[in-house]
Amino acid sequence: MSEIKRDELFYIAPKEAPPSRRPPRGTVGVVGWLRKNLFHGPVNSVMTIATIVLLSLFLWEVFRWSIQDAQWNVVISNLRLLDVGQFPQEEIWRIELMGMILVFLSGLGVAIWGGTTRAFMLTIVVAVILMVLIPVAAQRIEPAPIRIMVGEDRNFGPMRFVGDDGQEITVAVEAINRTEYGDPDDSTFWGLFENAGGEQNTRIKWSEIRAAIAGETLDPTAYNLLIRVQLLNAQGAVVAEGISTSQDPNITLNVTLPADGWYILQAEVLTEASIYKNTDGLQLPTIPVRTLPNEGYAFIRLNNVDIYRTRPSDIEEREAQYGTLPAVDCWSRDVVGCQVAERAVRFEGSRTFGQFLKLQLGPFSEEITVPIVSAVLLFFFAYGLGHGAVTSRNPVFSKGIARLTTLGWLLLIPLTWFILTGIEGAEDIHPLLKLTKLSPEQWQGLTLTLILTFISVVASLPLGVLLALGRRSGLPVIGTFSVLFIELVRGAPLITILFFAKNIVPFFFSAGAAQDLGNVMRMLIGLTLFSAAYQAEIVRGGLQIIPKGQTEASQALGLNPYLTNTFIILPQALRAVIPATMSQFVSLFKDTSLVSIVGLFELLGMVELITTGQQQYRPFVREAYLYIGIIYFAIAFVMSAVSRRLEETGSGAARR
Amino acid sequence: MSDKKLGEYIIECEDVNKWFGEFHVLKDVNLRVREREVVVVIGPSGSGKSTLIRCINRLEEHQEGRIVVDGIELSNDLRNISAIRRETGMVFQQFNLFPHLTVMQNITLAQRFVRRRPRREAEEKALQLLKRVGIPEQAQKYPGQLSGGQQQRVAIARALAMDPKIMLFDEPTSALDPEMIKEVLDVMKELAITGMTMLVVTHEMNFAREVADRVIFMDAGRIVEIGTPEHFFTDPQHDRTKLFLSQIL
Amino acid sequence: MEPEVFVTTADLGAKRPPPNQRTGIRELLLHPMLLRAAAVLYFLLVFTLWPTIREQIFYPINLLSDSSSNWATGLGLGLMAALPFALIVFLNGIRDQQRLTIPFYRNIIFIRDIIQVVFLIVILGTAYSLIQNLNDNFREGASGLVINFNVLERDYPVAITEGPDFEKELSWVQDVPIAQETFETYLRPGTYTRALMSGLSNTLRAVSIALVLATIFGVFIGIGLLSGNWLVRTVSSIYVEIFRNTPLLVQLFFVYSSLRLVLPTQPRDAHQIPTPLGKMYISARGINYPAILTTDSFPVMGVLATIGLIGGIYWWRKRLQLQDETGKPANTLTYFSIAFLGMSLLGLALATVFGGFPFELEAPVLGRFNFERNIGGLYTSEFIGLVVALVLYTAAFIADIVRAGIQSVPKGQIEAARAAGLSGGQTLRMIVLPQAMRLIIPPLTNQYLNLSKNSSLAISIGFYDLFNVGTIASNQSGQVVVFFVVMMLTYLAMSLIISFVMNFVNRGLRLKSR
Repeated sequence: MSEIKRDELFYIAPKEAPPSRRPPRGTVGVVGWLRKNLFHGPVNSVMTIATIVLLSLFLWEVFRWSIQDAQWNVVISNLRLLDVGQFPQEEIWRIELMGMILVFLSGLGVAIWGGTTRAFMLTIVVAVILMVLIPVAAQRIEPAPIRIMVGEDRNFGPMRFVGDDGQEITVAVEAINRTEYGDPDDSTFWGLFENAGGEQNTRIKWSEIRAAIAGETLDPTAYNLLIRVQLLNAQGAVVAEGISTSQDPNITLNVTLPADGWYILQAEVLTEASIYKNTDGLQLPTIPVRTLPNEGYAFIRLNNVDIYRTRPSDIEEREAQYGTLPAVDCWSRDVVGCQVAERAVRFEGSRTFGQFLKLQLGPFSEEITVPIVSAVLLFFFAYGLGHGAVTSRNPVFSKGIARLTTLGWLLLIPLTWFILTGIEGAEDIHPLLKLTKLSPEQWQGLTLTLILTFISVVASLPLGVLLALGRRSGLPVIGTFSVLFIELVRGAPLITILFFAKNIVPFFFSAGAAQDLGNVMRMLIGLTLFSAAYQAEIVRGGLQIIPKGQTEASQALGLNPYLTNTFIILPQALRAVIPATMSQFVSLFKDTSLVSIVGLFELLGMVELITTGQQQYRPFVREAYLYIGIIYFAIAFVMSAVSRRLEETGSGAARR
Repeated sequence: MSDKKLGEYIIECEDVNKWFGEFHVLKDVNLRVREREVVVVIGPSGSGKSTLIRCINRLEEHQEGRIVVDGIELSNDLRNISAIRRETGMVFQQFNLFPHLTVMQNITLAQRFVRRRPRREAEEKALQLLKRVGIPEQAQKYPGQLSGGQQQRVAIARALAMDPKIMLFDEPTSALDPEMIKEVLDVMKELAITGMTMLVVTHEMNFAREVADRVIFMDAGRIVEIGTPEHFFTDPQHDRTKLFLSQIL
Repeated sequence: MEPEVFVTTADLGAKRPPPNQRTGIRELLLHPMLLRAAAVLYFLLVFTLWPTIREQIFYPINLLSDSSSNWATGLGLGLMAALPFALIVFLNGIRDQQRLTIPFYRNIIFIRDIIQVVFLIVILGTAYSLIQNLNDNFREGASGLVINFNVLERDYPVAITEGPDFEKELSWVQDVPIAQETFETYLRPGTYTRALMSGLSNTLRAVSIALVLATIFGVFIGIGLLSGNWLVRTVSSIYVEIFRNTPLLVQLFFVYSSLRLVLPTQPRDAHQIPTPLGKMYISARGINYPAILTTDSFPVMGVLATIGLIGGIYWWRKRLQLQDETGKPANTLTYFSIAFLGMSLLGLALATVFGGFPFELEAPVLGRFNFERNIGGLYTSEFIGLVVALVLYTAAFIADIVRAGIQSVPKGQIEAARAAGLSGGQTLRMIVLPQAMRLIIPPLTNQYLNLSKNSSLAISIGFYDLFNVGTIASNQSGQVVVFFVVMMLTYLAMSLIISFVMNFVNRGLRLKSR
């Protein structure tokens, strides 16, 4: 402090300023932050505490549910379905190819066009990586084995399923006759076969047994069953057979199916009267008649039987391909059977959240790394190529790459369409040309969602621009029609427009064309029209921002309206509305979920298909919804965060 | 400027009347401008000066009267309008440069698509003009990166790139900071010396005194007085003119 | 050459009206409104008389025939409809050519007009051929049906288990004098029309409740987004991000399946919650609650309450006026409450004395397997699921809108207000909110419109809203086009009404802030 006397009117500051002091202890640092933000006063503090309490309770409940009550099998077993639907396994390479092309073009695009497009491209790359790796990984998961429980009071009747020539399946008997059967939550138990409802429910039975074993009221070693397992073909001839006895309970039959067609699996717990072996029509006892009573339980395990299709109409489809469903004899009442495999097979597992995570990260990780790494490397290669082109001295090289990029992006959609639908009779043209004909109806799952979004957004852009220009054209006739169209479409719920596109639009054309217009095309038309109306309003907003002087200067220079719009007005307007357009992209992405109502199986529709077809998953729909909710959220959030960033940093033309 | 040899009549406005809805904005305007002449139009705001020169290149449409530019009559004929716009260049108060294009692209765009010049030629011309207006080093910059005075000079270069016979200026310096007005006026002076026909709406009285061949005073849509700068600023005739000049000088 | 010197001698103040300003019959006829009306009439005439026109004019000169494609016929229709306009355009063009020597193809006005004429012909032609194709295809196709709006009077075969019973008599219809017969045909119990109305009523029920709840919840979260408390802000922000970035349909399915899975499936196992009015049953079917019904004596109370409402509004404005004039505090709410509540109570008392209590309670009755239908109030789980999902989803958007609106009010405003001595509450009410409202109302209207349109997703969970009923109807009857048109028009009307009301509110709010 100064030594100079201060009187009321004059003051001279000391030569050396006193050191600045730190702010009071409680206002800065962690404590300060806490005080300011969380405990700023009595009310605030109460709010904080209340929120913390409620939040903890809520989060704990969610956590507990996801770990204990939730069964994540519905997701795990169906990952491939969710991602690509029932797209033929051997054609998935096409989707991966498109993904890689997309990554490549994005890399080029980011390098050559840079700036505003960068964020958009990066989002695409992320989405593609998400999409590409799952089918690759999912296809390496073995279909979970099926386990059917037979035992002293339960038998298993004929189960029919389709098999292909050369398909390798394994039928095994696993006797429940050991005290150590491994950890019941061990992942070797991939699923349990539920072959009846109510108390006959296998899972319940198995839990009871485990409990009884643990409580030592049931002696697992007191196993005495005689089980005959037979695999028959559609004509009733035995393809493979095995008998499990109490001396040799665990048998395994490795069968390579001899031909395409229906197969019948039956497993019978034999009593003395029914021991026989059918050789040349003679009924001969080959195994000594047992004198001990039936005791114990066993699993019949079936590996590598397809359990995808589940609807009754699929049986017709199967019949068309594999022949008529063989008739079987349904036995006595305590037998479960007479069902077609897919419907009989119920999948239920105690897939806990921990196992879910382990599965996601565990076996996947090798599968995941390869596609991710290759995608990332491809991206950087393309980026380097583009960057090299931009900075290169060689005009041929740089122009060439730039042209290639533009061409690539322009042709992207037709190329996607072509690769994913193939050519009629491709095998006849050239054996190496593996582009067999597929129909867009086979696009399903997340793939379909992304295709729908992308194509609709891209197609709706030019349409929206035309509508916006029409509305602002000053020509009353054109303006009125534009306005009418825009307001009509915007005033209607999307589902009515999809309804319109599905049921009415095909009939606008001749009857033949109506047939050819598949469901996917109709939905694309509907989504495009819908998006175009909203896009028109967005573009109109951009057009309104452009000062009138721009048009005037353009006219004064002698540029005709076409040139004015193409080079002066639209570039500025479109650049100005990029954030809003991206927002529209996100919106459309979410709206594709509505096509599930009209019968397409994109991501949400796939969940519906899975849970209605495979009844065992019905109680676990929430897990599925949560999973796809996360997927939607991830992609949508990234896109909107990116567009928000764009808005903030400004995509104005003057800054580059 | 007195030593110039003026050419034939290049702009002729005969009894031009214009209405905006009910509002009579140009009343019986009669005006003839010769080639190589520099005419400055002054007047209070709302007097119709901007409207008049915007009628000349059809940015506004007149309802009555005739406007003939370089022998071409201004009507609804597309060909005429395009031809007239090719002959006239315009410089705006707000510059109206295209913000998403570089200075070079601003100047070459119309050359390439309207005059159909090859790119190289257009760029050479652009560089030439940029040198003429004094800012050749700004060629690759964007308008947003330039000062107001520089932008307006680029605008002038852009208009000149089309080789117009007439240059129309609509208050070219009104939106500029005072220290930048001079650089633009210098360019305009140089333009006048090289013999460009110029029709300039402005408030810069010194420019009118030094450069104009004739000064026109407009008020309430009507041409009130036309005269030489000497006549105008020393001995205005009409009361309105006197009133106006007393308020601004 | 001497430069001209010129001094005007004209009267500077004089001005003329623009040419063509003379009024007279000709000008009256050319009045734009009349012109447009005439154009519309002409169009209608051409469309209705098209078959005749076609036969009389086009067939004889071999331009069209019975076997012409729809496309060609459509073009003919377009030509016919655009004829007068084309004539006018050509006449103008010719006149310009004569008088001003501007050839057609270079005349700006001609070009502009001819583009519109061509556009008109193409649009009309395309529309006609598309619609004709539609008709032909339907006729020849699987359904063999002609598009026929008479379907609306036929009987609707599927039961709608929710909302007003479309099989019930509408007693008040009998009393509507003029169009009674039309009403009788369309509105008798069981028709498609009645079913659609049932659906519409369900939609309106869901939308109105969801709108109110979403607004309240949205504002609440919006305020949370602005809170000084970091935790509250973050939690609100997370909520908004999650619910904005997931599709509504997924949220809907999740909510609905949660309700169905978590709540007891059998009505007899339903959770029973005692309320002062009786027992409330919550099960997977929905919430059965004791309903408050109006009895015959209600109209008395209703009328008095309405009088009280009108009087209250009147009093409200009078008090505001008083405040303007004398500066006395308005206490509008107090006076309004006195009027409205007072009259309502009076009505209640009168009704009770003369006709019995105007309200009665109807408790749900639990039968052997299910609750008796139509006894007691029922909110089905479909309804609850739809409303909850709509509320959660829309509130996220509303929250962000509210936040943006309030943040847009410049801080300086608040500072100035506080400096002038206004309290916190007054500042909020009179300075911040009115300005924020201006920025909030338009996007809020948009969200309301979205909500009303999103209600159509009810079909996915089986709630009988308008779209669901309409879809079922079109499947049952095969008349896809009819029901599509009806549904579209109804949704459009709903959108228009909401926009209109919100516009009104927008202006009204501005008045109130004075």
